Amino acid sequence: MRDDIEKILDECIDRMSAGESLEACLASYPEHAEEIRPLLLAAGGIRNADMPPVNQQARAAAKLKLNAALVQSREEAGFMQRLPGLFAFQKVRAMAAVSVLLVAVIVGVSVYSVTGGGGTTPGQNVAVSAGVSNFLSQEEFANYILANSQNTGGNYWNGGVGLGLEGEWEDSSMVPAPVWEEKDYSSQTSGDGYNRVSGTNVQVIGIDEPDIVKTDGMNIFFSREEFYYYYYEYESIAGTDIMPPEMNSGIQIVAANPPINMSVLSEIDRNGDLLLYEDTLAVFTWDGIYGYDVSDPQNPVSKWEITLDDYTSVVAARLYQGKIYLVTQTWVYAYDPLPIRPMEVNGQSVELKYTDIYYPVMPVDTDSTLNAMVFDMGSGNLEDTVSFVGASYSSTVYMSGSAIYIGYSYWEDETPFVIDFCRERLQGIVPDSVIARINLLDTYDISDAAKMTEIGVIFEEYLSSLSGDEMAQVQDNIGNAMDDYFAEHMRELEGTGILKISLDSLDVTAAGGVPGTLLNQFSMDEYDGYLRVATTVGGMFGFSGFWVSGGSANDIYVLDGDLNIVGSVMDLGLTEQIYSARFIGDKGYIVTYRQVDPFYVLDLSDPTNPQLKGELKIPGYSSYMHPISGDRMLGIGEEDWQVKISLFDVQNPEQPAELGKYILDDYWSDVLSTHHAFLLDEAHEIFFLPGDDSGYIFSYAGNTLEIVMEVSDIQATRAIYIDDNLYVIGDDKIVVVDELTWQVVNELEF
Amino acid sequence: MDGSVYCGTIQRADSRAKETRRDHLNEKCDSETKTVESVIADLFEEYYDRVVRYIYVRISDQPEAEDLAGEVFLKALKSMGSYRGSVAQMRFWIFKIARNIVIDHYRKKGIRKTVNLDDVEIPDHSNVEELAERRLQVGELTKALKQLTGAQQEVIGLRFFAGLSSAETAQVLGKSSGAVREMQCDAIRKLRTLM
Repeated sequence: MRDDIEKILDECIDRMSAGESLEACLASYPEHAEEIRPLLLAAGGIRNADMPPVNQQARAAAKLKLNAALVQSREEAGFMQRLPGLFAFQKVRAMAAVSVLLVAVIVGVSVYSVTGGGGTTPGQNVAVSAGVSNFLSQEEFANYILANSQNTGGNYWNGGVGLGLEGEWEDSSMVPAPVWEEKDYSSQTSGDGYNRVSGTNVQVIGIDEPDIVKTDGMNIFFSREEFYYYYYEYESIAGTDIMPPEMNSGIQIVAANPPINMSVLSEIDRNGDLLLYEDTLAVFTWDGIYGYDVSDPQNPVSKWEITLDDYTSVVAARLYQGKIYLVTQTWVYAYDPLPIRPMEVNGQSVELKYTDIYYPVMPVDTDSTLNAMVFDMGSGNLEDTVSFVGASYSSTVYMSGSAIYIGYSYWEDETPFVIDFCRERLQGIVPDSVIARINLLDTYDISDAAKMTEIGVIFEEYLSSLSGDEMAQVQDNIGNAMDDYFAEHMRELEGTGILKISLDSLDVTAAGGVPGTLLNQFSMDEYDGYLRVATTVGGMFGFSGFWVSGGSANDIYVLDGDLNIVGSVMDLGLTEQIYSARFIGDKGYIVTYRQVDPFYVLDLSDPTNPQLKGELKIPGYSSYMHPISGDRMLGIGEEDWQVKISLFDVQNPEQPAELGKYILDDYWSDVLSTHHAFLLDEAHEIFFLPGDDSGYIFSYAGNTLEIVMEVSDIQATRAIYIDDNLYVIGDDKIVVVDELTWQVVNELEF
Repeated sequence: MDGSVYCGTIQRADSRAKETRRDHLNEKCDSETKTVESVIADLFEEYYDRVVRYIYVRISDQPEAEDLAGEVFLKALKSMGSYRGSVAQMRFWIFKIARNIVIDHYRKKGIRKTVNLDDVEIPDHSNVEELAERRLQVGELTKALKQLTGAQQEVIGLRFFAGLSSAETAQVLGKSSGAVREMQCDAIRKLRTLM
């Protein structure tokens, strides 16, 4: 009886939630009506309680943070994920072989058509040139934001930052690009008390990147990962943590040199990536950047604070010549955009001037500003800032010695693409009446999304009028036509806008773009005044149930100082995606990955006549490549789900060879998600990488990959060297190894 | 592992397993043309407001509830490696995370606040019809809710503010549907006397 009441009450609550009346529910159970009525009335009172509305700004801020985390998650995952939706570009990943495309890019010889080299679609316009301008008044800014915010509110995962066409751009004096030294990518020399010390493994020598470990040669600064212990109780669905998390963290400052006297000197109660310059340690936490004076490492003193507001997140940071170059993103409230105050510096609010905010000439979806800022590392003072409007999609930051390059993915609207496809390619495949309906639909003044829905209805109606066999045949024909059309036009659908911000003036000095999307910061590189960019285009595409089976390709573009495309190699690794990219001097190295196996070698020394030179098959893939002396390249990646290290000979671009290969019995190394976890010590011809539960020290002497030591029983995350001591750093301890004898010198537990 | 207790970490959960998991989920998602990230993004769009309301009735602090709701989705993204279930079940999982975040919230703040019964204004609504007529002030509701057991509060929060069915609520709480219906009935009876 009691059980009955509970069931009936439960059912009636659901029925009333779905809109039924109280009386209708009671009528179903007249015998219990008297008992249930007051309970249902109370339930109605609860459901209709006057809840405060959800604050839309808080919602937007949460969305921005989540978006930033999604971008980071994608980057950490080491592969590209595509946008969701009806026209989903999907990650196509499968177990199989690798293609390493060896690309020798000789930059900027002459200007030539971007479709001239290797492309399969002559005459296709792939250039995305640009024009930008800054705002001249507060009203202009506010109007722009409001006018261009409409498309981003509902579904900010679509659309994108695009840059205008055919804009004039004032030239600025070019800063000479830094010279790439093909030796010792990570070490500095001299200083008191030591002769050599490693730095974080970075993309560009001399430009430091935030990481969890820094050293000054005497002390190690180590931000332990935030350990959240959870006890999962496995059930049919997600793990239920039945214990509260226990946090175990803090930045350890360790006296490291000499290793025999190693000890923890002090601790800073924060967590995050670090930058170290002279006596200042900067800590990048989730809510800001905190500067400490660490001249007395036993007593770090808070020096400055940059606190981000709730609508701002850090996209990237670099340290160069004592300055922090910070790229942040601030969500802008469309109905009341100004003032924009992304952060406070030492308690002083920073306000962006609208005259420092640039926008593309051709309006694009806008929901945020991206801000490039320069701070003095010693004082924390904000020295300069420049911003531009855009949408909060994925962005990739690369910084050379002369400029910051910010790349943004954008997606063109697919509706015109699909309508054009239907008009151009479906004649004879579907009846004229179907195409006529689509033509008529195109004239309606309705949203693109609504048009797509209608197109779906048109096809559904048509297909359902066919017999099973006819339907299969028509679907097949449409699919084939779509394959062809997509292969020819996929570069029109997705692109990357690129902004160049001069370090000298901190002004936007050029804007341009390329088709396709970037993998990570290594997808861009400046050399001799030219920017080289590696992108993947294509992926899965479909509409109304028709799918292209994964036409994708990889392109390399060479852009001049004004970001005009002057050279390109297209269609590398057809049906594949870039898994890693590295540009070294006048050569480029691209690893792509696909389902079946070719390994291409391309010679691009004549940019107008790229040629396929050779083919080689190796299983697995590399997600990080690191150059070493003697024209060799290390590749760290995976094969059969295990960590794989390959040593390539790249001396002869026509005949790259795999000199050695080692497959670890480990399923994961942090190098697969961040290049910061890798350490090369060329003096001893060794490199370090963390494994699942240990740290591996490999020798590559004599072109043979060999484990010289496995430091076990440590959750190793990084390693550094000071003189001839290698410090393997884990969350709970540091193990020091003598690189001459490979004996453990000392250990320090936290 | 079913039924057993496993000690792991969120950020340093077996990264390899995380990857494998991600791929597995992506495969699942492929049929719906979704990636893991897009699923999380979609969940945010659909459930953020409901998560805020659910947390709000549990902690009675709207700005805090909005912040915590944001954390729920960040945590969902981070914890993807430990997620075991289908894409369709992810919404229960979101509320599981929300529930745990509320528990953490109370733990962080120390001993859980209790409300002195004397402080609770219990208006005289001898006529229950009147209750249905007027808009119940949420402050009255949250005060009254505090007189329920923790489990009863959760049932009310999940059923009425998160909008889950009793079967779904049972999944989140790890109880049987019958237990949820019983708690719901008891909670409503008690609330009726308090509001």
